[in-house]
Amino acid sequence: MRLQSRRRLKWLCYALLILLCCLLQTMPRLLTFGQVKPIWLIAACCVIAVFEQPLPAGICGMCCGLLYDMAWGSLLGFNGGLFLLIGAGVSLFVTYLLRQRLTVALLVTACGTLPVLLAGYLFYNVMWGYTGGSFWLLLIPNLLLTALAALPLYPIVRLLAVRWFPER
Amino acid sequence: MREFLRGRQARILAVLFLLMLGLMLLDASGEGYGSAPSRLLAAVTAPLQKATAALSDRWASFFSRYTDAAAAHEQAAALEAENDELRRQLIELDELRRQNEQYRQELAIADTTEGLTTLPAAVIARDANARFSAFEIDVGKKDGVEVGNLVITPSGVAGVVSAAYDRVARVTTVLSPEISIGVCISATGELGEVQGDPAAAAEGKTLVKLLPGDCAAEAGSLVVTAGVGGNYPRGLLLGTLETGVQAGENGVEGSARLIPAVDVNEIVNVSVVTGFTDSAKGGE
Repeated sequence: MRLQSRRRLKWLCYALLILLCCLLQTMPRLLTFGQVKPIWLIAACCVIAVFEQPLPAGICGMCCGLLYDMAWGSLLGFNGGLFLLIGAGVSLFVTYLLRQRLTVALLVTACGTLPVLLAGYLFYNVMWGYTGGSFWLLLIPNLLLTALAALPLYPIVRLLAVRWFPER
Repeated sequence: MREFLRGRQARILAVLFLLMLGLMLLDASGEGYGSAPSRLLAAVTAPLQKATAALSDRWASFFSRYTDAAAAHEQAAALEAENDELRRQLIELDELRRQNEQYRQELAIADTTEGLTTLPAAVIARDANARFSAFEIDVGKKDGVEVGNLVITPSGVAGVVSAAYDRVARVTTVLSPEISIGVCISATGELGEVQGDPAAAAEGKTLVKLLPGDCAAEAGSLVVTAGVGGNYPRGLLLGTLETGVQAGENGVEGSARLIPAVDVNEIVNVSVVTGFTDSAKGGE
């Protein structure tokens, strides 16, 4: 198979994976633990970023963020911009400082979730004066669950990026 | 790293980031640029969400048989005791109903819950991380749903439609601070307003505000829609007061915590009130 075709097929698979994550994100009751549900879209963004170059990783993150914005009616572009930075940042870190490993994917997913939760809390709660005491109780389980969500995504993305459609 | 920062990729990423900032400004300006992609996404994902919601319900009900057995046992014992109490009340109620019917006929008063035009809907999307338990339903503008329609269940009011697309609509629940429903205390007739509060919402409760500071309503009092202004029908149950009314600093206004009649995190099916007759309206 030609490189161009392999690349196209890989990104088609990524797109389907992201759509599946969007559905998992919005499915009522499924995989919800108490008040917390993993943020599947950030997990997908971070895991894909582990295997991709900064530019495609950033674009992929931007798409995930826009889906997150559209699905939940937040300001369009808010999470789009944030996920773009996270995707590109994760890819840069892995390229220059880390290695493509499962533990690294879990770690960067947890690190990527933190700014999303903090920004959401700052812009949608603190700025409007909705400061409930439950945020920190939700933050830790949410971080852990989102990192765990990277667990099933990692082998799928690895399979696509390294085994099925390698670009080299 | 320096190579990357000076390269073409970094510049494209910077442009895309600026594009996102621009999108945010356009969306915030309220000119509706953001709603077009949202409508498109809703149209694409709604059928898939409907299917996955059904799947998710089956999954949840299958496992809940085993995981909730102990809780169900306790609940059964509590319900049995409640059943005995309700049987006793039923006898009293029959007598009261007979009297009520007689008074209605004498005074020609209409039933407040009659005259509602409702549309059945299923919850198809819900994110546990969404603020104040907002959810999406499988009916929209093309089914006659409009922003501001009340969303109810047989137990009471669940929320209000906050965004309506062609085939789906988003519902803001009674836990949200963005909601504002005129209510009255059923026992005393005093008027107030239900508006969510983040601290109360964390415990699945909401607040009744703007009550008179000297309101005599006690814990357990029923709170129903007042129908004032004609936006919502009157007489629909919102919940019961958890506490008595606590006067504010000025002593003129009071507020109380409300236990919603509907557990908004658990509902699967709802009805959207798309219209109501004059008999269901309250005073202007």
